[in-house]
Parts: sequence; C-alpha cells; structure tokens
Amino acid sequence: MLPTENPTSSPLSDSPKFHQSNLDSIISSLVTFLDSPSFSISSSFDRVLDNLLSSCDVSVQDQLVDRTLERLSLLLQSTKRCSQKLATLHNSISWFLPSELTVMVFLMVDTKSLMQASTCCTMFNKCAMDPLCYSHIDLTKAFKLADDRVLHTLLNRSGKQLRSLKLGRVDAPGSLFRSSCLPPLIHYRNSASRSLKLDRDAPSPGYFFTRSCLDPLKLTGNLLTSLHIYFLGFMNMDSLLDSLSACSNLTDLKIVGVNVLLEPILELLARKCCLIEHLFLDNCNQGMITYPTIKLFVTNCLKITSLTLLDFRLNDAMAQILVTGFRILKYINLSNTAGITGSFLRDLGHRSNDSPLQTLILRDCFSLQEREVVEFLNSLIAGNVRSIRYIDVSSNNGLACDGDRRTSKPNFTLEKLKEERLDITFVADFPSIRPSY
Amino acid sequence: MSSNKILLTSSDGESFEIDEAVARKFLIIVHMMEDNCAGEAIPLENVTGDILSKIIEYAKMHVNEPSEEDEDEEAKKNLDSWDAKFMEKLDLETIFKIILAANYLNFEGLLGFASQTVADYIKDKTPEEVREIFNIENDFTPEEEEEIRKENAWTFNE
Repeated sequence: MLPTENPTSSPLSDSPKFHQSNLDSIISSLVTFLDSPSFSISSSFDRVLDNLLSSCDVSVQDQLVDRTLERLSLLLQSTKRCSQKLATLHNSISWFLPSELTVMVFLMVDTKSLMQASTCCTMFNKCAMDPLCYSHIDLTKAFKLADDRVLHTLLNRSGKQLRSLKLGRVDAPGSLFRSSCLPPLIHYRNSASRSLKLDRDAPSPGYFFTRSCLDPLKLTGNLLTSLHIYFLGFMNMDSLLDSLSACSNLTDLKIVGVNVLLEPILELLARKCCLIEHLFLDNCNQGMITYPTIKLFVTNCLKITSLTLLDFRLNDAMAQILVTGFRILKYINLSNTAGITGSFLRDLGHRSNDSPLQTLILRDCFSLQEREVVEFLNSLIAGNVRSIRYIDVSSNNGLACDGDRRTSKPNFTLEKLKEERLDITFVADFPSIRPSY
Repeated sequence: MSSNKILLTSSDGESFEIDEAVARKFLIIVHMMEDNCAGEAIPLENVTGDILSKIIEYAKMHVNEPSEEDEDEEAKKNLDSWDAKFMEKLDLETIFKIILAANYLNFEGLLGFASQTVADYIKDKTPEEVREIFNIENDFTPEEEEEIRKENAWTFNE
C-alpha cells in the first residue's frame, strides 16, 4: 500500500530503510495492479492527485505536477522500449535465419524491393545495409524519384561489392523517335552560355540525375563489370570519362539516350577498359566517329563478343573493320547507320571459316543497297560465313537501288537460301514505301 | 559410378539410405569421406528427419544436373516445373529450415533455390505486405521510423 505522505516532508527515499527494491515494488504494483469493477483507476488518479495538490502550498504544486509528468513520461518511454524489445525478439523467432543467410536472401532481391523491405523492422534494416546487397544496383525501375543523393547513398553502401549498375528510364518517350529524341548538343551549349543563372550541375530539365551523377564510381568502380545508363539527359563529359576510366574491369557497357559525344567513350574503352565484351551505344545522332578511333578500339578491345552501335555516322570502311576486326565477335548490330551501302559485306562474304559471327543486324540503314545484300546472300548460299545464324536487313524505307530508286520488294533468292543454309534466319521486312508528298 | 549406398542419420534418429552420387551433392559429406571420417552411418546433428527427407528428395531429382551447354530444353522445363511444385507445397517455416540445413550440409543448389524462393516473397511488396507474410512487427522507435521513411521515400509512391 502506498504511504500517504505529506509532500513537504522529506522524501521517502532519504529514509535509511528505503532501498531500490522498495522503488521496484512500487513500480511493479502500479503496473501489475489489475483493473477491477470496484476500483476505477482513472478516478483514483484524479482523487489522489487532487488531494495531494490541494494539501500543499502553491509553491510546491508546480513541482509536484512537473515531477508526476516527468515520472510518467519516463514510464511511458520505458514501456515503449520494452515493447520494442519484445517485438524484436518476436521477429527473431518468426524469421530465424542468421544474418549471413538473411543477407544471402536479400542479395537476390532487386534494389527497390530491398529498400522497401529494409523499412520493415530493425533486423531487416541491419541486414539490408550489408555491402553484398548492393552488388547489383538497379535504379531503372524507380526512375520517377531516384536522384543523385539516392545513387550516392547506394554506391557508398556497396563498398567494394559493386558489380553492376543500371540507371535511368529504359522506356523513355524519346526512345520511339530515333534521331529526334534529344536536341543536338551544339544547340544546348549556346542557350546554356546565354543563361547566366543556369546551374551547370543541375539535372537537365525532366531528369533527376545531375551531369556528374556517376562521380562516386571513381572510388567504387574498379570491380564494376556491368553499367547500363538510359536517358539521363546531359552528362558532364569529363566526369563521365573519369568515372569510366576507374572501371577497368568493365565487361558490359550500355549507353542509350545520353547527350554526350560517344567517340571519346570508344577511345577511353580502348585505353582503359580493354576487358569489355558487350558494348551497346545508342548515339542519337550525336556527332562523328573517326577512323583512328575505330582502329584503336578494334586493336585494343580484343574481348568484344557483342557490339551494337546505333545511329552513328559510319562508312563502309569503318563497318568493315568493325565486322571483321574482332576475333571473337558473335553479335553485331549497326542499325540506323545511314552512311553504309553494304559494300563491306563483300569482305565478310568472302571469308569462309574465319569469322565467328552469328548475328548481323542492319535495320533501317538508309543507304543499304539491294545488290550488296543480294551478293552477300549469294556468298552465303555458296557456303561462306559458316557461323552466321541470324540476319536482319529490314527497313521502313526499303533498300536503295541503282540511281535514286528504292525498292520494298528486293530480289532475294530466299528459297535457295533456305535450301542451302537451313540454319540461317533471314529477316527482311519492308513495309511498302509511303509516297512522299 | 559405383552404386555405393550411404546411410544418413538425422538428429532425431531417422535413417536414410541413399546412393553415393546423391550424398555427394552435400559437400559436407564429401569432405567427411575425403577425411575418412565417414563410417557406416553419417550422423547429421543439425538436421531433423522431416527436413532431411525433403532435402534428399530434391537432391535425388537433381543428381544428374544438366550442364550449361545442354540443349535438352524439355528436360530443363520439366525439372523447373518439378522444382516449383516442390517449393509451392512448403510453408515459410519449412523453407527456412531447409535453408539452414542446406547451408549446414553445404548443398549449394538447394540453398540458392530456397533463398531465391524467399527473395521472391519479398519482391515487389510493400513493407506492410512483407510484415504480414513473415509475421514481423515494426520495432522501430518513432524517430527511427521517421528517418528511415524519409531515406527511402524514393521507393514509395510509384
């Protein structure tokens, strides 16, 4: 039973007989006291406090109120803490995997789902911070709200474990319109210099990542093997090149819809990232490529097995080097290359066993000539280029013929091809040429 | 391959006789055999009988693991669908126990597959749904929760 003390007398705790255990039992009584119909706890509180307050001086009343509030606040916090401990214990029983195995599960979960799961409980949050969970960061599914800060946080968490990184919008609206997807680089530079207020580091309008968003890769990129970036708008060239040059183990690079000149990237790959195996660059009509760069690229990047260069201004000589210069190239896609006539196919066609090439894609190459393709098909029928399995020369504008004519019904001997080379799939879709008005 | 039989005993005394080829999927047994500590019966102290029987069932189906280059699409598809049915029938607690046991036995194939199954339960779910599925309570303090919500705001409202 609680002693009714006069609050102005010396506190109970000063008495030599008052031990910690007395305090403990007071608290214990308060908490364990069962509700009962004959006692109402709430009216008991009211009654006791009223009595105490009315029987003491005004000067002591505030003290009493403050002390009561403080004590009960401490009790509230303590209750919450204990309740959390119980919840944590409950969780460790429901999810009884040790943290190494939990991390193993987590590294199979995509970045966005992992971040959502990390808000479930303290255990998940702790395991989700393990660097191993960040070896494959994919921000393409959260493009609406992911920004530099998010990217930097995730990159920092990955420590030395970063192996692959994907960011941007994979299916941006611009991707449907080939050469008009982004304004030309020159244009923007002029308007940028006119506007004094333009923050050169701000994200391009409509994008959340800044031009130097890949900077952290300079520190964490050296074991990175795969990098895909989609439609990030304008990027700071130096920053991008610096970041890429730290990624010496890069084997898979894909850049689509980014407003940078891509020739320096090819050069950088040739000098710093010679282990590259899969390269996909969608140029969006951003500038020239020179012969020396192509030669350097082919000479140094010996491991290329798959090459996609869309919308570049290549000519036949360059195409020839690309198609025949890599020793283990299996897949090549040079669609949307307006400058090639197909004469480079002659060299390819004359090689019987050399080339390991399996897939050749030349979609929408405006200058591709019907007769070059016909000649190439003939050399296939004769048994050359044994390894090839898939060829696509489809185009929305048909193929070029002699003079200025174009044809959407080229003279291909497809039956003969099927006969002699059943292993080849040859795709040649030419929707009828729309009359120009 | 010799058709040697190996006897495995679970922690609760159940015995399982299996082909050596199947037992070799469990690297812990391979190591024991190499160190010559594999006697007639191999006791597995950390695995109960019910879990061990499931693991053996899986191991038997996967004893002839097709290599990467194998062109047999049909066989792969059948195996995948058997795997899916195998996991479908199991509750989460059993799957967790399988993960622990596969880890102890060093049976990589099943460990990866079971972990992936759990990961699939987490994919594309909201935190509330994940808590519901795994019977987990929110044990953050309000301050911690606020901070974490802010940090991860970018993953919500998709």
